[in-house]
Amino acid sequence: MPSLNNLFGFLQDWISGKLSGFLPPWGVTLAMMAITIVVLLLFLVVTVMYLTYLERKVLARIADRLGPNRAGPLGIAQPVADVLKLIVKEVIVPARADVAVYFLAPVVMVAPALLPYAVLPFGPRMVPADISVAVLFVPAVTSITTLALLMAGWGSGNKYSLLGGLRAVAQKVSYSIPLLLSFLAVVLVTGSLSLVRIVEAQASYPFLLAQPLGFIIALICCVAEVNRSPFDIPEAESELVAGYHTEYSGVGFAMFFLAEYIGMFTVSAMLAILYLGGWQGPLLPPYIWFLIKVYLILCVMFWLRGTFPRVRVDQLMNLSWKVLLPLAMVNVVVVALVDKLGLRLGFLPGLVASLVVMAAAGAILRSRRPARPAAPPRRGWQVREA
Amino acid sequence: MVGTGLLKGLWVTLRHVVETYRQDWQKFPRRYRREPVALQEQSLTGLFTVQYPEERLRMFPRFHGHLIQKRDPETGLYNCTACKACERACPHGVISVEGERNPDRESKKKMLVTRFTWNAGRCVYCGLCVEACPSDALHWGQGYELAVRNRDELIFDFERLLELGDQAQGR
Repeated sequence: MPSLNNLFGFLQDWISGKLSGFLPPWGVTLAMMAITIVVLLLFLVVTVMYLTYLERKVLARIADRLGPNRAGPLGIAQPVADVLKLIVKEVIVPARADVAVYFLAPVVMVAPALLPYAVLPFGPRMVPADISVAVLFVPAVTSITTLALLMAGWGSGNKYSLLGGLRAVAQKVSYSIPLLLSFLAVVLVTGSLSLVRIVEAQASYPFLLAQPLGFIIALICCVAEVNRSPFDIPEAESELVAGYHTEYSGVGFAMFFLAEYIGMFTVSAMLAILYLGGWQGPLLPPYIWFLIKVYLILCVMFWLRGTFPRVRVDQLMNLSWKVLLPLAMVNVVVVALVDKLGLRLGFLPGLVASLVVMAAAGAILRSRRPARPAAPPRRGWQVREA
Repeated sequence: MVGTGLLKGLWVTLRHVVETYRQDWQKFPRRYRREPVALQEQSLTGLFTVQYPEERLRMFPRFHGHLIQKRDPETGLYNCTACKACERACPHGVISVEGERNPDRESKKKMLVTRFTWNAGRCVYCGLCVEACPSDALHWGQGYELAVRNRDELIFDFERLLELGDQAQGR
């Protein structure tokens, strides 16, 4: 299916061909930019709407429930209803809010969340801008959302919001480091910071097989980066009401929500590109393969959320600084070493090295784990043994 | 090993997801149809949430739903003899019974019920009336959709109780 494989490239050529009939070259460029942006925005908004649906369905199944099933057949109109409700809802400004910061925060949250889509490749010709430092660009712009979280926390004039914002900053800063270190290992092997080049380098095997340790570190860090459960302490309901977005309602809350889910999609796309081989795959068109991989990772994130309880703040910091950071550094060294040895065995040396490192780390962690206190004597009614 | 607990947890949740889909598949089209289905038993595994308007639970025999008046299955005559035992037993006085002697002296039915009302709005569903009934007439039914729009509709007359009894006895 060569036409389907290159459907979007064909569309692009067709539209720009039509436009060049009555527009000067710079006009065509501008129009194509606008069209790309609109298409991407529409894609993202619809994706976010249905991510919430997917998440609710997956979580429901984990909890032996059906999930949304009232609005429309199988509940597929539920996201539409949610969006309408959020748009119609009154915007309430707290009396003690720092109004300028309060209103700017949702904007600062959404704008950087959209920026990575300028460089994310959905397919061979489906990347708006193939820049040479994309691997650096994506974490750099997404980390601007940290500022938005702090702004929201400060601007709300609410101690819970502020605590949520502070926690978000601490968490994002802590988890960016092991995340970037594990990305570094991929860059080391590929020799390029361009996402397109990284995907092309995975033609024979995805880097997941060669660097499973790096993938696990990156996955954990990504979940923490987007404040997802079990690392959702910036919005821990039981402690902080709703964290930084406690005081937001209506459209402001919708912006945070949108940015959070776009962020999830972004990190999943990054993981799919860096570790699962991006658009590479047999038979199906490349963009379909890419979306399959992204949704696979998203489902894993929902799965984690449905399974694990929230960690404490100290556990969160310990995990990042005492476990993931050293492991990520070891990972970089091991990957560099394996790459330098130049064994022509595909992913096998990397896989073996990763497994050895993981086993060693597991043994070290186990030996350092404090001994469990002896079980207290049982109290209450007991069957006396004869 | 460190982390086996995490994997075990993931395995548990995965099993639940698969199990719900497996059960879903078995009763596939019914669950997603909008028309009500017959009363059913509650399942204890998988998707055990009852999707209420479409799925309804069959209540257990001891359930205190609403009162019913039973008939003799052979003759089709109602069992009530208008003895007023239920009226006397009722702590709230929500049952009132009036009867008269059957003018047809040959009939097996010596007393006819002229008026029997049960005011469900004031009933505490204690069941003393059912216990007091000497002639196997007054019983509990298993229905639970008793909401009405008008308070007057909460007063059940004899015909309605007999009708509910017929439904409960499957007639």
